[in-house]
Amino acid sequence: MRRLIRIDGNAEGTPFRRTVSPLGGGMLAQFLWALPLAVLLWVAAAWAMGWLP
Amino acid sequence: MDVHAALIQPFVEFEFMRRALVACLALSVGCGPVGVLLVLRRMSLVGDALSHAVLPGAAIGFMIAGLSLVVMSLGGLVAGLVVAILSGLVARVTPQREDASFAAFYLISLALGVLIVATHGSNVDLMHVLFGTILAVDDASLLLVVSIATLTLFTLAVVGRALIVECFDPGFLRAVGGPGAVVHFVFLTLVVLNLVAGFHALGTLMAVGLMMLPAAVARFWADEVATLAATSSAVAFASGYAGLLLSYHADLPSGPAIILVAGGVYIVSVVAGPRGSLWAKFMPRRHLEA
Repeated sequence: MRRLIRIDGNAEGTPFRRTVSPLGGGMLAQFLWALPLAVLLWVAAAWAMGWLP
Repeated sequence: MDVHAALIQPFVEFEFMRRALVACLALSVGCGPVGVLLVLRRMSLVGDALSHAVLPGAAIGFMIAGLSLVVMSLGGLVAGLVVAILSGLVARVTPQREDASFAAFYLISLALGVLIVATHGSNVDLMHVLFGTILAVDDASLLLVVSIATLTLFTLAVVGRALIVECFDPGFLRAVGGPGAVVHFVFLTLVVLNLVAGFHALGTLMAVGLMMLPAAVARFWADEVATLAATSSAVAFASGYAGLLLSYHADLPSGPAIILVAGGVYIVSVVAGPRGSLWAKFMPRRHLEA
């Protein structure tokens, strides 16, 4: 079944499609791991440059 | 010497150590996932080639504006992308494979860069460009490195899934209408950007060290892509921290100290890592018995 879905690529809404869709939704969820890391980096940079009290 | 004085005091006491530590953190966050993707795409040596390819652009920037951060970075970025594009072009229009064309262009770039710096600067400038000085990272350099790491994070958040699919099944990406060529170019741009960031801290010769060694280490400790990326970033930061301390206490050059610590972790991982190491191969665990 999975192999068929892989070949025709038209299985909208199937679990496989949702899991590996290269362009599909879930963008917000992807940002959830990037945002805290970015904030941590900038706080650390502010600390290193003496911008924090 | 107590633990606090050995492990924490240098970073509390000296601003240059704090800047170097945060530069290592930013490089780790950016280079970790990019290095893993390079390993998964079997492009590890392409990263090395691109790190040398950055040199002539940075050297031309140096020739135009001296040790100007922005001009050298832009020059490095342009030179790295030009080499990547030319290598890809030669590989597509001639029978030569991409690894050979990358090797040819990076050697030309490296020689050109060293020639430009050597004829227009002093030996000190040449050493700075080749080996970097992470302890001399100033506010502007740190902001550049952190900005590149942030850009890398958000770009990976947007195209990470397509990048991973392209690693394992490029045919599937094409079948579902994914922009394979665009994704590949975005990825190469990320590689060059992170090498430009690493070049300011570790020089062109070792910029790729914090990208490839931790990624190679991660393959012996993890299986899934997300875990590989996290492991790679953690190993890179731990190597940076330990290398800075080693450099501080033993009065060693900081760049080689950082890369050698990462190299030590790699050798330990090859011997004793839980996944595919020599230990796992020659001392397999016993099968469960009923």
